[in-house]
Amino acid sequence: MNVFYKPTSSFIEITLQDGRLRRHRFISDTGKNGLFVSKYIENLNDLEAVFNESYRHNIISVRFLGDSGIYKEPFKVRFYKISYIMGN
Amino acid sequence: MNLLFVCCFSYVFSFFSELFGTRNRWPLVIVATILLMQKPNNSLLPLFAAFTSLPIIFPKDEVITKTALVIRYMRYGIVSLILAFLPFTKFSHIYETILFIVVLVLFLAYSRRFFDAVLVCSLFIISSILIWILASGQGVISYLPYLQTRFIVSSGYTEAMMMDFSQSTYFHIFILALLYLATLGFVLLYFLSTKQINWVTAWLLPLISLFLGFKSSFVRADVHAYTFLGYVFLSALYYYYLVEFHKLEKIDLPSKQALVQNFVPFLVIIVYSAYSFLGGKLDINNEFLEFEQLIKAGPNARSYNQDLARETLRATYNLNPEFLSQIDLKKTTDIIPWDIALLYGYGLTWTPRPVLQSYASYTSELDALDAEFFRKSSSPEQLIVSLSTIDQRYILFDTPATFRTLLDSYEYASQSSDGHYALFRKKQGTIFRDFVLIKQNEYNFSEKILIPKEEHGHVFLFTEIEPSIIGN
Repeated sequence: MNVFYKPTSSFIEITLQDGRLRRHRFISDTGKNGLFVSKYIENLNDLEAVFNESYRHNIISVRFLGDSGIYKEPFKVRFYKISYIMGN
Repeated sequence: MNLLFVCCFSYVFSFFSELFGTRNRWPLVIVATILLMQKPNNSLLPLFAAFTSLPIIFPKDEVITKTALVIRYMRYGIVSLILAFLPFTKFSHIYETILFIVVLVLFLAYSRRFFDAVLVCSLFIISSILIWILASGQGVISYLPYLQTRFIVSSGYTEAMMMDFSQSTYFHIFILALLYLATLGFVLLYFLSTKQINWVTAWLLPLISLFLGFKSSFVRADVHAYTFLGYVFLSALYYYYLVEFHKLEKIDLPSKQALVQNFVPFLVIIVYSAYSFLGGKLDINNEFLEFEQLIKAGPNARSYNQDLARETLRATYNLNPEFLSQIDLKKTTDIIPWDIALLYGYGLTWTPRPVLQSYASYTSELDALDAEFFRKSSSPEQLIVSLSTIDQRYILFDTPATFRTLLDSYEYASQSSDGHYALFRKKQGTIFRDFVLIKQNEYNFSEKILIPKEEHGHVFLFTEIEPSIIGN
């Protein structure tokens, strides 16, 4: 499929604490490198807060949306934590 | 690039003039001229390489003298050199180049020209290594990792860059694809009917290029799919009339000759004129010095154009003075995700990461390369960051490993008043933190995955979504 045609797009749907949904195109292979799922970054102020470790976690859940004919199911998901340096 | 086009066509032209006789030369001149008048497009380069490879497929029945052998080996050298140069013009051309070499070597082996097969293969490898050394200024050892990276980039392109067709464009593209396949298939059947392996092989080379070129535009679902169809028609016509010429040499019918000489070039002109109407022509309207003006302006012309370019870029990006004053012009800098022209405009010292623009980090390996770069002591001392991305993607998920490394090695400094750019500075004495596994499970698509609550740390989700056999 990938060589002669193209796969269908896969997406990630993010549910925020206030109930809002954010849906983005997702490249499945990059998921192997660890997606930051503590906070959804909407602007540079959010990014500043994450770098300063002074933010509130606001992602409740995620859903991967893709074609089960194109990708293998079920797939593994692992969650890892990195402790804050500043110890907040 | 223009020079390469001229070289390729001069070479192909001289070969076919020789092969088909001198009296039919002018239609070839017309075709070559029309092609040269077009804006160079790097998707066309493999096509030219395919045409350039034809002398290997159609060797003249010459008496093997020393001079004839020297000419033949020179042809092999030129073809090998052009094919070796091809992958350096675009990452994805590595596939075309390898397929070309495989087809040519198989053809030579089938024709029992084993020595020629080994020679072409060897010349190609030597040329590739020489071009790498000259172009990169690096040693032979670094060529293999470079080659490996090119395969990684090419392998990730389709999934990363594909766009879904909208309802309105889907039908058009579908019709185009049918036309495209019908044209290629028809020509292939035509050559198969001649039962001559030379012609089938000769068509196989541009067919590979045309398929891959069309596919890349098909993946993006953009206007290039339309323009590339022009190249398909053009190639089909080019081959058609080469075959007709081949016949004419034997039959010599003036009426056929007139038809080929007048009708085919006319069609080629129509197709190539249509090309600009279909959106393939770039509108270049700038204030830079043209070639004649450059000659008149003398040695200062280069710096004049550079200054003008910087001025234009500064007017475009228009960083506010307060933000600009935060940036240390003497320190090494990189920019995320892609505005590298900004660095040039403001005279910053660019220290580029391996994947120059983040959207092109198509695979986890490429992201890991960038992450590794930012872990080194030689990484840029400051970073300019914006949150732009393409195709409804989310910038943090474009390069997740790189983002995690930046969290450890850079600190926020300031942002521009319009909220578009932020400045980050490299931390002193960076400590890269270890992961702690929180939980793991298996999920299916559309299933809700709850994020564990961890108030005193960043949480990262690792997935292993692999393509199935059909998806590969």
